[in-house]
Amino acid sequence: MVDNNELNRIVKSCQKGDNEAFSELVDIFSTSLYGYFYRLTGNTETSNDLLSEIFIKLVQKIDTFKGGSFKKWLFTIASNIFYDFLRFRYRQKNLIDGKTATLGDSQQHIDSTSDLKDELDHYLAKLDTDTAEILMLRFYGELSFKELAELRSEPIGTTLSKVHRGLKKMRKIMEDDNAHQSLN
Amino acid sequence: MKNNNENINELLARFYDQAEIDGIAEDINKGDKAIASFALPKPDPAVVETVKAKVSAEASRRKSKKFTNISYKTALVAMLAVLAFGGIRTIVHQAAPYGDSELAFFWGDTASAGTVDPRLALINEQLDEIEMSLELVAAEKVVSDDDSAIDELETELLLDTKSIWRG
Repeated sequence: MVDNNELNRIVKSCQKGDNEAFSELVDIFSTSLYGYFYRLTGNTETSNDLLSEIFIKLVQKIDTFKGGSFKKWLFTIASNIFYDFLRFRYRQKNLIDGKTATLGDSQQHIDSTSDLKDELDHYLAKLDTDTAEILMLRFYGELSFKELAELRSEPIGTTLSKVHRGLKKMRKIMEDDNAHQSLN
Repeated sequence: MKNNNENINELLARFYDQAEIDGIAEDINKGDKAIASFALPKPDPAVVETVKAKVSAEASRRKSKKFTNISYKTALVAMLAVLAFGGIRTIVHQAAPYGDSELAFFWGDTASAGTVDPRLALINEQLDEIEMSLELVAAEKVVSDDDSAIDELETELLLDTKSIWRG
């Protein structure tokens, strides 16, 4: 990851319309953003689409960035795109099934066509969407608790508590799963 | 991946008792390590290249849109400036009716004079009349000059006739 001064220079170049600077931002953030989308959707195709979408949004909205933490700003867009995707899929699911789905459903964030490749996807799938999202924002966005709290518009104590409970719950799921596997 | 160099203990001290802090910090630390132990999903390089191409196209589109917007704004400002200038000219003309038209008259600009204010046309007409009168007066002066010469001749003739009687 580049230092803040370098990042600010690149962002300023982007705001001046420098195509090369946009490519640099893609190089810097594509892995972390892809990781964030992939861990939450569990689907390569969807993650690729969301990755394209966020960078297009980045170009369209770059002038609205007025300083501060660029990572926080970028992952706020990522979070909005992820929830838009969930809402879209929720409507789609309702249309197809004719059933009422719950956005906070524990399995909601994993796509039905998921191509799960490791156990982390499996563990995250057992957490509610909000908890899984906050853990992935913290991990892939490398965001501090302060930045996370600002991004989510909630008190920092609430964010701290949610992350703590989420990580503890995930470890419990991992331990239970390992114990279950060793029994088999 | 997580690398924000945050001092969790310091942050926890703001919300929890000292007795709880170590336990919570350990939970967070272990959780972070558990996530970090899994492979980092990476996008296909071809996908990244596609994204870069899309971003470049969008950036160019945005740039040209920005340029078009600036052009429209400039044209609008120019149009407003022309309209404002026209408005100012009208006001000035109303305040001082013999502006450019007057100059056109003095410089003999007939093209401009054709579009002049009717009041100026009236003045022009009157000036023409004065000019004609002056010409008439001048012509009359010549006539008058001729008459005086005749008178002089008549006077001389009369004087000469009287002189004959004296011998």
